[in-house]
Amino acid sequence: MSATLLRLTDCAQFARKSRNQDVPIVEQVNMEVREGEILGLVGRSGSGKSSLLKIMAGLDTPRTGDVFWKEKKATIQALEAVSIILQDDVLFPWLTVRENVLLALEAKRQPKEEREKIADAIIAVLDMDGYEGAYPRELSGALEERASLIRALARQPEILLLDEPFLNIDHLSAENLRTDLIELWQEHRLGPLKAMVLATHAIEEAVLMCDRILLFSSGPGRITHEVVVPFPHPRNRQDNDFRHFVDQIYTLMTLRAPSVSEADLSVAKQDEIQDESSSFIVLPDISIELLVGLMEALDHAPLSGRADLPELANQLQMTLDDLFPLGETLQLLDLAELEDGDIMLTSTGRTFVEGDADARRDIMRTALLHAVPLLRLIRGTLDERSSHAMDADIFRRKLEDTMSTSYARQTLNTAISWARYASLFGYDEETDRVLLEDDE
Amino acid sequence: MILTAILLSYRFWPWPEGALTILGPLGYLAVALFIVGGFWAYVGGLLLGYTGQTRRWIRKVSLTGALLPVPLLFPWLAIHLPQVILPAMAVMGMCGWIVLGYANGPMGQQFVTMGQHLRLPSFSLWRNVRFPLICPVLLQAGTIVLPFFWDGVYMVATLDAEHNTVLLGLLQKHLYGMQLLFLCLMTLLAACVRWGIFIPLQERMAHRYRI
Repeated sequence: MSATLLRLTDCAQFARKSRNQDVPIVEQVNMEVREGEILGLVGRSGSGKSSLLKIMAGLDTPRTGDVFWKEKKATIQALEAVSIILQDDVLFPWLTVRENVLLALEAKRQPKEEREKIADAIIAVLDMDGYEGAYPRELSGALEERASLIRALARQPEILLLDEPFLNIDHLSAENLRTDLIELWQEHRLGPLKAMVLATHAIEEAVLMCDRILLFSSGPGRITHEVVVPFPHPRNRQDNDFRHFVDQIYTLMTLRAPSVSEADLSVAKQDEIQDESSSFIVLPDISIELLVGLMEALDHAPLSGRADLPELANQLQMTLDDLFPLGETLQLLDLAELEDGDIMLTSTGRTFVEGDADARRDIMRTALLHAVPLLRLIRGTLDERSSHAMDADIFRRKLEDTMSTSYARQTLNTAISWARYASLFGYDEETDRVLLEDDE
Repeated sequence: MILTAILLSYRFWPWPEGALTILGPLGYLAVALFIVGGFWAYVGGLLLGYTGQTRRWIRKVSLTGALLPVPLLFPWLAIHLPQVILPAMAVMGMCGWIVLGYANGPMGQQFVTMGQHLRLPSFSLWRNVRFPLICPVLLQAGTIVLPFFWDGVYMVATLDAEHNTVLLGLLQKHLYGMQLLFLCLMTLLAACVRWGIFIPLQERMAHRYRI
């Protein structure tokens, strides 16, 4: 059995809050990163994957639990052997690609000549020679991501942590970068690198790259399943076994959650009233039109309100990874349910599809107010204020108490877009204020 | 600008006794600029990655300093120390209010966080991240604050009876032509500092650091 490089035991992390109690992000996480593997952390946005990666990289300390590096209590110095690429990572725009890479090496306290040698070597391995003198603004998104990868690898880590590294680049470039990374990994050309950890919401991507996958539930994040991927590299997405395996993981991720007792519900309701902001969730960058389109597709014959997710993805010419967040969002709004790899419209969802524009708006308004605490808070605040207007930045900051800056921005943008559809409130971009309009 | 500076140093402004005799009163101006700039470069750079209440509190204090009604405090302005300190506080406050306002962007915070994620040593973080971020902001603040800075200089020169400044002398002797010439030279110097130093430097920095 491969040696364990990094181990987390009973780790829990909470979002820092200025008042009231802190919000749990992840709970009771026990996991290990083994030598020679690519480990996948799969879960929806906000399931605490990034927080775990930060703990593993030594950028954050867990509120409870321990981190072990090679079976010894991890220290900051030991965790210097871990490199991380986060979603919010940026290249410094005033430095060239080579200077960005060299800057990352300044922490290593090596002689300048040695640092330059390492930087040039890793730039060549990742096929970026020719771009050394380019500034980040001269690079495409994919090349910027590649440069970030070079910067992380230049530090010669034993573990590389990747947080949604292919999220913000186009499909073809992402595929190219993925293939290159796996090839270099297989050929042991990534220096002393012994393991990689990939956090992603895309199941197919995880199956394509990883040897072992941990599935996470949300709110707070917990490991629900551990799956070993049985296929050797290189893997073929079109292979029947591969597709079947992906479907199985979707089934695992859509297993019906255990039912909640009435007593639990009443307690939860009280907590909710006490502090609305403690239950903020990350909203995906999904438009209402997409959700409505999916519900209509589900309602049409021959599906009649229920469909197998992979079949539906095929029929809609979407990837499963693109379809799944839509299904999750409909489930959040109680307009559809995900169960055992299927998606089915709820009775509210059916009423929505059958209704006219006004009826749809009313249903969506009720669904949004019920399911999205942020919208409830904004609407409630606007109702209470005599001006019926407020700076959007106040809500953005409130969200930042429980999630990262980029998620907070995305969540507020999505909330505003959904609120506009349901006529909950409006938004003035020039003044960055949310406001109630006359007909609201 | 150099000619103006020489004229002001050697002909129109009396030599100060003691320190900084090489540059005359302009030395004091340069030192004042460096103190204001250096202070806000450090504090602004330090607060770049910081989003807490302290930043807002410092900015509010700066605004209070900027709004200080210096001329209304004339009873104290006959004394040398408050004469210098009060206008200096106003300029410091204004500069700080602008620097902390401009440097409040999320990008600044993102770059500093990135530097911390890379575990850069403190000196390297300052040289490669904080300084490139704060420098253009500081120069931008400088271009805005400079007119108020010169106002302060005029005021001190008018009120500083102890050092018998040339402006005060001209005012007392009712030499209106000379006063006009003096003010023209001072305005020329101010314009040269703004358009000849600060704005080109700001543009160069903005280009160099791609901000």
